[in-house]
Amino acid sequence: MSSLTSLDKLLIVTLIIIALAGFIFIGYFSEEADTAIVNVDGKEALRLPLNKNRIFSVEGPLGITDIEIKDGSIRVINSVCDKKICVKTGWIHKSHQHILCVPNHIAIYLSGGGKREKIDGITE
Amino acid sequence: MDTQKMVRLSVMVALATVLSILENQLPIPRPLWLKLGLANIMTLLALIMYDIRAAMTVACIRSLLAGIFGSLPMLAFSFPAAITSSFTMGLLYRILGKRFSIIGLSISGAVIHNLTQLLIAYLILNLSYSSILTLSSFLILTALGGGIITGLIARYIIRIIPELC
Repeated sequence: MSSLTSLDKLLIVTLIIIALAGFIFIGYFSEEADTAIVNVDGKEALRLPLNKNRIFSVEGPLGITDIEIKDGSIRVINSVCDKKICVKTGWIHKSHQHILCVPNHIAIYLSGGGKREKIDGITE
Repeated sequence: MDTQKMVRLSVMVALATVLSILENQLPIPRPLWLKLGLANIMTLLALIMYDIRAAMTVACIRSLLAGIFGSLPMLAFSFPAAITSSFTMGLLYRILGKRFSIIGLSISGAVIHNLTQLLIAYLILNLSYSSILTLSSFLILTALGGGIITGLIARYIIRIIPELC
């Protein structure tokens, strides 16, 4: 790495700072989610509370994607798509997380309940 | 275009296509949708050996061929990204010349490549703002890693075959 120019180094440092600032910002505003929003083709198709366990399906341009909600988390169980990246994403439960299925045009977002973190404890 | 240039660019397109298909099979632990961007080595070489037009030609034809032999639906992502990233690298090389090394060029190309694909994902899926923020931070970091690795390989190739430039 000896022959990096000073402009190279400036670029690398700038990119690291931008990315870290992004991560810190996301971490600061992230909270436990209470609602799941399922978008199909860029439009909101479903809005479901995370406190009620259920298994349901949505239909995208390619076909059916099966989704499960359980104990405040959501995941894709099965999908018609090729690489199954949405299935491999697994469970999500924080408001900044998402599950994307690009081939089947499905996006699952979470939205928080307005409370930052759970209460540490209550004294009486 | 003289024959030597045409033959060289054709070989580079062929190599880039193979690299781009092959790197999907590499046993490197990574999330499925992340790639190193090894094909960008050939775009970089075309830029250093010739000019921005040669680089963009290699990138665009490679992207089309890899789409045809790989996964056609992903062309909506790979083709625009090939155009924007090769154009950015070419422009930076023309403006900054030697003040940016090949690694700086490679990183810039990788970042623009990833952000273009993010923009297309936004257009298709109407991504939420928190998703855009999460993904862009993540994609900038991975582009940095991938850009450095491909830049180092391109530099190594130029070093062992100096007749190229």
